[in-house]
Amino acid sequence: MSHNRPAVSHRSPVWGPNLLRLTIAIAWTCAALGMGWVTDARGQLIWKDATQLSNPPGVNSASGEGGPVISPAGDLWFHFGVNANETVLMKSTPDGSGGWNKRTKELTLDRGVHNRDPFFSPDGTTFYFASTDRNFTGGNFGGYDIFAAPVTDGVLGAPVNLGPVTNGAGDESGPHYDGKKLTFDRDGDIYESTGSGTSWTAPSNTPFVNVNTGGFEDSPSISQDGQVMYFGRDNKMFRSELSDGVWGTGVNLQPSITGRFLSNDQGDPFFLGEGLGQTLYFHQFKNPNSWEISSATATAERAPVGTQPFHWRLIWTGDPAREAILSWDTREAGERHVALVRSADGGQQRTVDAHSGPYQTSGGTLHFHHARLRDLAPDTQYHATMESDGDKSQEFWFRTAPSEDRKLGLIFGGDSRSDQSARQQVNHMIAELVEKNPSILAFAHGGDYIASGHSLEQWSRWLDDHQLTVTAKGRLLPIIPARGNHDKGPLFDEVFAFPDGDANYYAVSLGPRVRLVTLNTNASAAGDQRDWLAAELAASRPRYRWLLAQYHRPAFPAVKSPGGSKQHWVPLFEEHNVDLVCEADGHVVKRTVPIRNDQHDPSGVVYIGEGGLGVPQRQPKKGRWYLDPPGMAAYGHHVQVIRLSADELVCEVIALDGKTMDTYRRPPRK
Amino acid sequence: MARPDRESLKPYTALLWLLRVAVALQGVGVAIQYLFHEFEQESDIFSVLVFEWRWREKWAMAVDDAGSWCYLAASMIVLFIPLAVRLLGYDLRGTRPRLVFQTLPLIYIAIWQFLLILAAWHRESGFLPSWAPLGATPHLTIPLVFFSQSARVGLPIALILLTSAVEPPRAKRVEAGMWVLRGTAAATFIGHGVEALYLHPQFVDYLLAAANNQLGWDASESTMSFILRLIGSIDILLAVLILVARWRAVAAYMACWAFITACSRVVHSDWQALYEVCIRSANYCVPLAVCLCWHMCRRAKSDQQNSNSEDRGARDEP
Repeated sequence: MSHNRPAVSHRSPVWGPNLLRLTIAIAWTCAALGMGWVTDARGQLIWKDATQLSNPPGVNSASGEGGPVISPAGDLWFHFGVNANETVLMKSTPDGSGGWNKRTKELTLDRGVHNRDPFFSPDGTTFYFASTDRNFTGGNFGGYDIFAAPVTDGVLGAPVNLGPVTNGAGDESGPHYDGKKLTFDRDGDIYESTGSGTSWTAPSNTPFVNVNTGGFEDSPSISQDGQVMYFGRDNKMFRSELSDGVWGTGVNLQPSITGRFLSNDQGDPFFLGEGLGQTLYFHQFKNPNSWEISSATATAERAPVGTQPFHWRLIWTGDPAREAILSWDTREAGERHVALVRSADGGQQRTVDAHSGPYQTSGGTLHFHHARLRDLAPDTQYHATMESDGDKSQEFWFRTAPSEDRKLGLIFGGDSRSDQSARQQVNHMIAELVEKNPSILAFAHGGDYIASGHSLEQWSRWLDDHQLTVTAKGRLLPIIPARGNHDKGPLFDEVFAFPDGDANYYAVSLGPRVRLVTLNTNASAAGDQRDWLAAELAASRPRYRWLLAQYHRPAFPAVKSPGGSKQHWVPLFEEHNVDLVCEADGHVVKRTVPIRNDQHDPSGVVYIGEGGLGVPQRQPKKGRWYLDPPGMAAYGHHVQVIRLSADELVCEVIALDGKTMDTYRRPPRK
Repeated sequence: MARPDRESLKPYTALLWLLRVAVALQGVGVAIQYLFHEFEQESDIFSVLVFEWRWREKWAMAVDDAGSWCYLAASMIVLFIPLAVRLLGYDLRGTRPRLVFQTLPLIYIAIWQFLLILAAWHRESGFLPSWAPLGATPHLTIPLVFFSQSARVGLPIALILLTSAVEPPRAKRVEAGMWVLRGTAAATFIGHGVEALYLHPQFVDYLLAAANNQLGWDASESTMSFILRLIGSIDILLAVLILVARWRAVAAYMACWAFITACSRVVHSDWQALYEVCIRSANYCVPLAVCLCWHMCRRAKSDQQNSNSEDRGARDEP
């Protein structure tokens, strides 16, 4: 069975993650709803940024790991070669920020033999694995056999051999069970058998006649819809599609995987599906006697060709009740770019010409199009389609801000620059939050979208991922952008339709009684911006019940030092009794106590945020008085959901696992 | 070239003390910023380790803190060991004591400081600083941080050269040390000059705060932008002058201006920003050292000329 690979390596199988659980659920829902646009309209899918999972004391060690699989509880299971005579099954739980905690041994099966290739049945009630153990129930028919153990409340029961029909004298391993069919490898070929418990049909390799080529095929991992299979062949991963009940020969996956730490040899693939944001787990060659577990995230590498619209987004920087900017990109310049807009109540369709141009640094390979939609009706649902030279996008819809005083919501977050996997998960979560809470009107981004503002490639990836905020029903969530310190250069303006040389500070009314001020911490805080802010707040305070501000570099940081906002803007916030200030940059979760004159004062201003939309998270610093209870600071990717009504402002911090980390309420100021 | 005698190099020992004090101040500034301040923060080295290289936060923080502690220790050794030795009347002129108590700590300071700059450059993606004006494109700019912070690296390197030049006397090392000081002072002014021409928003804020707080002048941003461009142009002119001419006034002006601009942080952000004056000690001490050096050379030359004319007078006497 070992063929030309080290003794400790091997196989993989199936199921869903904890931090990734939400993503997976949405991906499955999308698949169920037929949302093929995730892959179909976006070009070839690439598994990008392959990287090792956390090193000691996390997942990988100096020795060899393999067979990664995500359990229904979201834990990572894998095998670890202790020595030539022993391979043990290990488990690592998510650490809450996209990483993994210190691994632990699965003691139930720890018998000083080779146990490997963990796999859970789709309903999570049965645990399959391959073992050389002869003392489990049913014994062993030679080499590696496949065993099944019941799972009760997350605890493994006694393993039972699947029986002599499935297990023979050779090596059987790499089990994958979809609820009816067990797919596994036997001595370098892939077989399937139908049944359950210890009752199985005779294994058949007929569906794999094109797969089993004479090389060493192993570790089948099959997608949820049963149409795509990844498997190992001679230390390479292959992708095969099902056609008329027979799997195709398979295409080497190597060209579709990119990453800084990618080696030449991989195996044991495990994946759930191929949509954007999905994760592929596998093991890869580290040194002559060692393998380690890595992962890569699915991204559309090639955007639609020609003038096919993509990178769609809706931007609010003017009057959200009556205006919006509908933006998209195309690969080719094209000639005529229009937005087709009609109200959902049967209004006549309008055609709005877009302002277009090539992105700087793109060399003419990517073009932006911004259609300024004016004279919209407040609190109205509009359907919109983007069209470039006859190529149309799917139809989306959005809602304008109300002109009447009613309850509304806003999502705030910042820092999505350097953890794409987490960013995609957060974006999925945003889409789900908006789906569940239609009163959420917009998404205020506090800056640091990407790591290097001059990189069009990074902006392109961010725009790819931003599309994940579109709900399953096609609702576009307007973005209200603030510039962060990493968003340098002209591309920020081109992405968000600001005029050339714009100062990037502005205010929008989310309703007749809610005003959000966006500031730019990359510009002078004491100069014109301060004068504008003073005038804006003085004019807005009497008119609006809720006065909010957002910007990037914090005045009351949880980990760093204060920016110029502390000296120049905080006095204005306090003078005009701003209700809530949203900050980013620190990569933590925070909410300060109400602050006035640098002291805790119930009448003061509360500062929230610090950025967790997709960037490695940090532990907040201790000893910062404004974060002591009743303030808070914590660790983890998150968004802030702000709900505003006539009676109160409620701000909730929602973590990636969907749990509420913090809730803050305040009544309107008198 | 004639081998200089010990007496001719004696004035340079005064420079050594000035530069040692500058190194110590720089070490104190680094330690306060990264270890002791109320808003103690991590350096760009930490950020690269965590956000770019995906180290665990606690390991990156340990490396960062250890680096800052060693920086502080090294800078204290550079100043206080020679001071103690001098006060106690011991001799630190041997090669080994100098290596242990001067050269090695200074090498560490230079390397760590360079790593700080390298990390800052890496975090800025190598080209434009985050405040770069809209429309500025990478190919038109330079890695400014290498220029604007070069004196912080040049300071320990110059001190290594000058320390090893005095005993035994080595004129070429003195000359090399002086060029390091002049070169890094010029680079620092070029870096800050370009930042000023780009209208670094913090510089605008410092100017506005100084005008408002110190002069009671409620100036506009456009006025300050004009002044900042003027300041940037002067900075670059001074940088060129210190390289091509040996004018003490230029070096003295640079030292004074660098001190004033360092103090502008305190004017803007109160005494909590005093560490920023310390951390920038190289910016004003390096040109000050150049000024002192030129002054002493000129005085020595003048004394030599007086002595020669006295000799000639004595020979001419009947």
